[in-house]
Amino acid sequence: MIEANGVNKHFGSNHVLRDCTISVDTGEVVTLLGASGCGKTTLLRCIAGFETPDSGSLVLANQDVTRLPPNRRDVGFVFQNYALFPHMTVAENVAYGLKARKTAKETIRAEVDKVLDLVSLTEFARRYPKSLSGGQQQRVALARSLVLHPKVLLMDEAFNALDAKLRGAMQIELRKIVKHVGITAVCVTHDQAEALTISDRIAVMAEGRIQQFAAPDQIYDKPASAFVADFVGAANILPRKSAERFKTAHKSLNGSGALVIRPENFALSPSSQGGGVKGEVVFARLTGPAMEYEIALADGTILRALVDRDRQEPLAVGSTVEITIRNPDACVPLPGTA
Amino acid sequence: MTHSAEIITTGPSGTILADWIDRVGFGLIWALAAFALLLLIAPSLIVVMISFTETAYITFPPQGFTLKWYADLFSRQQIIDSAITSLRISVWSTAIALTLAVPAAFSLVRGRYPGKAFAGALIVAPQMIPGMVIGVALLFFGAYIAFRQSDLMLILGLTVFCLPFAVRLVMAQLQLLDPALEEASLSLGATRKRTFVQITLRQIIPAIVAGAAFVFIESFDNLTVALFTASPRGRPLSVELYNLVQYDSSPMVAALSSLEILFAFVIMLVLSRSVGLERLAK
Amino acid sequence: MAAAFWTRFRDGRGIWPAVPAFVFLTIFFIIPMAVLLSFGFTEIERGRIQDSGFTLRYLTGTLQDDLFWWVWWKSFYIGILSTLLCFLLAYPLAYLYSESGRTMRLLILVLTISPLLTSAIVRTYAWLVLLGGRRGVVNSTLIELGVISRPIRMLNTDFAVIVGMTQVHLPFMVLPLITVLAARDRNMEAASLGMGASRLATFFKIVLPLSTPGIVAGLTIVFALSYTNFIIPQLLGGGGFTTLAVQVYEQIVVVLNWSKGAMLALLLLGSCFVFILLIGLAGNRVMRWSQKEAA
Ligand SMILES: Nc1ncnc2c1ncn2[C@@H]1O[C@H](COP(=O)(O)OP(=O)(O)O)[C@@H](O)[C@H]1O
Ligand SMILES: [Mg+2]
Repeated sequence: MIEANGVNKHFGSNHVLRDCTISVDTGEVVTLLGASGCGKTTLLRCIAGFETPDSGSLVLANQDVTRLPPNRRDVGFVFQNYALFPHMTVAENVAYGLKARKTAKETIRAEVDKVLDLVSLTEFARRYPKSLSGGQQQRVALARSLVLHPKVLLMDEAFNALDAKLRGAMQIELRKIVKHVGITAVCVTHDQAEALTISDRIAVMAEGRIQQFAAPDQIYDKPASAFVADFVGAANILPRKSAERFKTAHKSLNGSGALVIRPENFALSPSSQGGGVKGEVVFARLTGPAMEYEIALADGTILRALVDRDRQEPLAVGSTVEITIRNPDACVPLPGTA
Repeated sequence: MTHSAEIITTGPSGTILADWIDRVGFGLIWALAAFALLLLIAPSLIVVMISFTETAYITFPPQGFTLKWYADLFSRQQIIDSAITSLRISVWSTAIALTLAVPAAFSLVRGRYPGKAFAGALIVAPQMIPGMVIGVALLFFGAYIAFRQSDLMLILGLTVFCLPFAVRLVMAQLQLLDPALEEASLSLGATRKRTFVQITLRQIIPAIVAGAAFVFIESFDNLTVALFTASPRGRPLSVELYNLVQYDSSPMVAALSSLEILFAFVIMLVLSRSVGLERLAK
Repeated sequence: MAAAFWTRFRDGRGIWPAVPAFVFLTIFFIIPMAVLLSFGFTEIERGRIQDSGFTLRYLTGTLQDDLFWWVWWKSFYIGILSTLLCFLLAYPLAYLYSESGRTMRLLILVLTISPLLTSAIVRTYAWLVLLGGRRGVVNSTLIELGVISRPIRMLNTDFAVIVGMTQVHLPFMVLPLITVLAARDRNMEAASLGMGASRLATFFKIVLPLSTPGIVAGLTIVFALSYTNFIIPQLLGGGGFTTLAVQVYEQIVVVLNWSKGAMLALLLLGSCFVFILLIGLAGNRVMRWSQKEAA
């Protein structure tokens, strides 16, 4: 449905997008995930037509749209701050695109009613955007795009303006609506939890490059680089030397430069039964269902470990522990150095 | 530790004295504020009150109540004529100033070209020049090309004088405008023209209204440019009033002034409805 | 080509939409200003060029004239005094605004903005009425109260001119002060009070210095307006009263000595810019803390 081929974009001397290639299937929800300033918004705006790539091409539904202006691309865009027209009511905002297409009045009314019902905003139709909550505004922005049945829906940090609790609920809500409609969607976020919640596939970006493009579980379990491992979920990235001290790690290390071990893959035992690596608990924190520890090894390396509370009583700061790897197969070897 | 000890030793008596000084000091500040408020309103009120006096000379408090000075005012052909002249001139300078200002403001906010800062400085430059100097310069320039003092010269002078206000008002509004609104409109399939009319223009209308009101009022009231550029025949109301104030001591002048005050008040109500006074203050 | 031009114009991007305004200002502002400048250095009498040669006669003649310096001093002291008085009244009012609720704020805004929409003559006229002769409001009130027995001469004095200017220009001082004071961060005052400073000390050591940008803006505008105002001195100062701005008017409109008038106008403008510059520099000095240290 969407194909970006070798897209490059400069702002002055700033090379913002470097050879970005990505292919999104029909009905798929894809998220561009990366730190602030890595070029996610720029790539999304290239797809929408607000920016023109310096080189490379964009294909939407088998049509080359690289040089097409945004109003002829049939793309829905949900802006970071929603960009609702302040001088129009909710219904007028939603009807705006239909009016621009010179749709018949009755059809407009029916379509607007239908989509407002979809996002549960029927009773707010005559209100102005300013009088709505953040979550409601976001749904208006979504409805405004969906009512046009665009080929693809693009969303830029659509949950940023919401408070933490509402954000989680809206992410689930959004995924349900998008899947119900069956639309192809590309979202942008810097929040890995959001990416994991709403996406079928995630493209992790850094410095204008796509680092890895895969399903969420693949990204988490088989990160392609130290950057991806570190950005998605917490990770201990151990250089070869440190990793070798864990006996069971030898097999997975298999000659590569570093090893990624997720915090939940460590087991800590207070007694010194031998076999593990010795360390001292320097920090302990309750995260809800689990305890998170920072453990200092003899060589000064700090490891992060996450232990379910029903598996083990909390350990005190200062206590000595032995660390072992629970599942060596879940460790990911990385080429090169980390 | 020593610090808190020090504070405690200077404690009770010091605090009472400080409280007292505080109270007197702020009393003085509030008193000055109240006086300033009085100073802003009282003169206009007094002028309005005097316009109703029955005496043939200005006196306060006014004696009796009569509308005869207003009747007198409307019976003077010269005043009526000059008011009409002023209205005509103001309409023209408002129209020209806004026609020039709105596109210029767009270019100065949205454009990307070398020398934009210089262009902006040039367009708001007349604001740094007193009206008198603008008027004098135009008068001298006219002498060069045999262009005499006239309604046209006055209109041009007022337009130069007012252009910066209009440009700055529209620029401020454009800068507040979220560019995402226009992009949203385009991505919803609207044409550029539709987007411009329904989103961009619609959002800056308050600034255009405010700009028009300011240029109109300033053109109508202006004396500093007018004294040098207005035609000696068919003088605008401001020049007429200037002469009346100097040489006519009848309460009719107060009646004329009262009408201008009323006019200003009406304009302000319109503005506060369309733009909001807080925004206007900037 | 034409289509591309039109697209750029319509988009409001590019320089084209600003060109009409440029052309207009060049013809009716820049060139006239240049003419004004040239007239100060040419022999012009009664609207005719007597001798088109360049002359410094008017510059040197004016600068050597004791009367000019006397008039200049008068303009300067009237301008400065009324500006300072304006500040003294405007600051408390703007502060009151920032400390007030909705209704009071609206009242202050209405009373501040409505004079701006009234002509300066009308506002000056009010002072003719207030200060004028025996029947003037101030004199008759004072006599009625028994404070004085005979009317004091108020009109046609420096006092009248300064009072008139202060009142007429008050809104121009209030508005920039309101802008900075209403937007200020109140946590700093809370911190100051919390550290034991009195309210008055907090006002003078925290609120006042932090509002420097508004103060500089207000002082600049009001000084420029007062220094170049020739209407109020003419109406309230009486026949013999003169300032630089009044002199410009008289030389050009009454005496018809355009060269002298042009030279005086240039000197008025130049000296006004110098004072404004000085106010700005003083402001920068006070605002040292806001400038980045040159590393
Ligand atoms: N219109 C623009 N002009 C100049 N630089 C820009 C523009 N838009 C973005 N950039 C720059 O491009 C880089 C990537 O920006 P963006 O795509 O917004 O990042 P992200 O959305 O990942 O935070 C940043 O360094 C930003 O400063
Ligand atoms: Mg972004």
